[in-house]
Amino acid sequence: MSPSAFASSGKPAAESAKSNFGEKIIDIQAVSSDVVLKIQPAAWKEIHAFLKSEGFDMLVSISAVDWIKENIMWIVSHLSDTNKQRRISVKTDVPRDAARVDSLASLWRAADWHERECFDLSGVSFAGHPDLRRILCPDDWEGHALRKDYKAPDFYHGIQNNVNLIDLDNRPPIPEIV
Amino acid sequence: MNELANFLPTVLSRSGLTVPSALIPVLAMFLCASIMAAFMGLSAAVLVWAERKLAGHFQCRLGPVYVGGKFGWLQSIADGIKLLLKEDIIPDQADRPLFRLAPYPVVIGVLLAFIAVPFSEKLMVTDFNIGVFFILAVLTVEVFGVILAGWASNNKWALLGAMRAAVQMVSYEIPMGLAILPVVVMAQSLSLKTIVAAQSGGALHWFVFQPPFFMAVSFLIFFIAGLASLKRAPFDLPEAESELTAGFHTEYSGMRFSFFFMAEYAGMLLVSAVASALYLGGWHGILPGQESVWWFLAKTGFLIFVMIWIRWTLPRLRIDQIVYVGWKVLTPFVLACVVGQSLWATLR
Amino acid sequence: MNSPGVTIDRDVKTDELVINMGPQHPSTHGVLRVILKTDGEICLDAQPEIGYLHRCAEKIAENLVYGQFVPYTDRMDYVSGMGCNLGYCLAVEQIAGIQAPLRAEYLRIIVTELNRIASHLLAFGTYGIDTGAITPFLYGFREREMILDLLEMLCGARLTYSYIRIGGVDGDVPPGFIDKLREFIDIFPGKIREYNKLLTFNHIFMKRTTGIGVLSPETAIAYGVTGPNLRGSGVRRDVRRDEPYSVYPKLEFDVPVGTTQHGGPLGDAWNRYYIRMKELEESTKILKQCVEQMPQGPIMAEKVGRVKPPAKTEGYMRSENARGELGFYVVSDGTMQPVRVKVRAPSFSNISVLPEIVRGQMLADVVAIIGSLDIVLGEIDR
Repeated sequence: MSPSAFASSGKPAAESAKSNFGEKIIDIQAVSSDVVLKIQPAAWKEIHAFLKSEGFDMLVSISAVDWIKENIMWIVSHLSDTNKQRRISVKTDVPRDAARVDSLASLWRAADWHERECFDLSGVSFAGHPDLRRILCPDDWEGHALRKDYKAPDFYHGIQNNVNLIDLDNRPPIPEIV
Repeated sequence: MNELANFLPTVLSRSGLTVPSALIPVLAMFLCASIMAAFMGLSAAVLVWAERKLAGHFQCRLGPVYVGGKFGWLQSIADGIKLLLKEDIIPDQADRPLFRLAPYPVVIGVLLAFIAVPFSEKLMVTDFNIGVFFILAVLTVEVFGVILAGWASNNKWALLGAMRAAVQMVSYEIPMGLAILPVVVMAQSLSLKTIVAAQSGGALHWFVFQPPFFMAVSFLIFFIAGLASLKRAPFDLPEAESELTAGFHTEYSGMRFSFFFMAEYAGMLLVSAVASALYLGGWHGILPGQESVWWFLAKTGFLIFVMIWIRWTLPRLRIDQIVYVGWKVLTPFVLACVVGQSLWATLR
Repeated sequence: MNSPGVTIDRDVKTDELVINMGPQHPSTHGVLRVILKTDGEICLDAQPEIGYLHRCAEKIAENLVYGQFVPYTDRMDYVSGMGCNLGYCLAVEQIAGIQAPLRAEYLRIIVTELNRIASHLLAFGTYGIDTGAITPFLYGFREREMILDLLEMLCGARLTYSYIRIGGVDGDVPPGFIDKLREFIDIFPGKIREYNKLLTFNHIFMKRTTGIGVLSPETAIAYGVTGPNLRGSGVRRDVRRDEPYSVYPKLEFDVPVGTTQHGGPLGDAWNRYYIRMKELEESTKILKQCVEQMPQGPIMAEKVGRVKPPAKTEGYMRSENARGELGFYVVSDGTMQPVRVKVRAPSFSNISVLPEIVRGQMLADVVAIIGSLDIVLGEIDR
């Protein structure tokens, strides 16, 4: 049985969101695992609040995907309904240099740490987050590692970083094996 | 000791040495002290080995097997040498004089108490007329060392351990002391020798089997409180390694650490020895007329085995539960025992 | 006497003590650091600090081809590496449109459930140590050793397996494996009873763990707590049953949830611990069914090679690992390397609830609560 059997479980909720928010929802996509609501960044929090009232009571994760060529970032959240076994995903595009959405920490306590992680690694800032600090990297770390243009520092507190000895950009192409 | 002092001049004159008679008691004292210290060191080593071996078998493994042949019986010697050779680290921020001083009260307290332990009718250093009381008193000295160690280490975990030790000591000294009273009432003496002598005539005359069994209950309470005062599991809160890293001796290393270690094992021996003298008939055998130091050692060994057994089976209590058990369970029960035994002794 | 309406001036002024628990502490299960604020033995606040094991595996993934990342997933939840392998491989298969053969799916579930048992046994043992009983640990390791031997037979590794590959598994079972597995399935229920006798229903242990660290279902869901910790709070959620993947729909098993039968509230430390003990039984059931149902056949999908999912495909794979809901969010840009692999580690959310449930507990309870959450720092920090 493929996992996609549950992929469409968020469809009714997505459609009801579409009828409620209209223009703020750009598109309803169906990917292999979830129904994805593609929304305007400004509506990030209100649509999540709506989905929470629809019964999606658990915020599973918040991630950011860096598309350097298009100069945008996806901010993606995944939600679960623990009672009715439904799932849905919300996605928004933000410009890379102003990656910013509203914080969901007031809706789900889980958002606190997930947003801190997203801030730490991808450099997305969350407006209204109670305590937006780095969580995995040390406080004095520079840069956000999951950005595609991230360059690791050569030295951190006198410790040499060997990663920079590998020239990642000029690696030989990977041969295909089929 | 007095026998030794009487006996010494004969030995000395036979071997052709002349010693001024004033020095004889001093010499006897030194002899006794060194014999006791050697006994303690040896028995601590044996107990460490026994505990590791037993723990191994309780846990479906073998315990030490390599050092000294098949049973790993040289393991504790090897451990001792290792501890001796280790660096004695004193933390930078520690209170140095107190930090150095702290292990001594711990060891001395336990060592002193052995003076009054009657191994057999003849084999004891000295027979105090207040032997039981003396043992309880000097055992309490240990906690000073523990608190000193915790305070002087300048480590928060060590300090917490020391505070726990203090709480525990206060809560369990009382039931431990009171648990002795029924025996004292029965034997009408505080001298351990007299107490043991009063239990002669076979197993049925041991105090623990005496109707109306108030003493059996107080034996249990004495044993539990003894475990607590030794900081043995399930009462090992002052050194609870999963909570306080190592509690009051977190910062100690090498020989100073081994002092705490040795004191614990010597304490096990002491509490078991005192318990077997007070309740289990000391050197008296199961059948009437059997009298030997080996009986005493066997009973002590059995109690030590039980202690080890308990340690490797039970989880640890929490500090509020410890205090609860001490004050609200053991103390009322032991008070009832004291009253009951006194009434029994009066009415009989 | 303290009569009502009378306030007492304390002449002894007490101070709050800030204690740094970890990153090197015997009971933080790795390199977790908890900043404790205590008043004597009472814990007023606890703030977990994570990141001491951070390797940025998600960045590493972006520089590797899909298959090369499998060994890194082992190192996330290193006590149940098979579950991580499975989650990642399913996530990639989902976006690349690969279907593993049935025998491979059964083998995957067998190793994952074996690994879940091994992981829960470790949780059982270390929880014993956290509460001061050392012997259960060795008892648990006795059976864990059998499992590790089994997995070693299968893939040569005892902890970081990388046995599950994209499109199937690494190799078929060696001769004798199924017999040894059957033997394990036969003896294991008796061993579970032994564990329960030794620790679960021990009076002191129950007194220590009942009623502490109470996690209400609402709080648990709000914090995204999953796995045995959520089920301990009485929420019957298990991805294996609710949104089944692989061959779980064909298998029968119960999802144990917390009770109040032990005399404590729902969602306390004992409940969380006991769910794991119950899951040992359920996993044994699953193993038994898998061994019976497993068909013959290939163990690898054909023509997998280097996976190259279509451009701009994405997929989020939820799977139930030993610690809860493990999510892999894989995004492809049409090359052989993923553009993003996001790991949603169950322990990450599980430990974030710690400040909420330790307030007002004793210091010894903090250790017992952290132990009952059963975290693995490898996957929290990734």
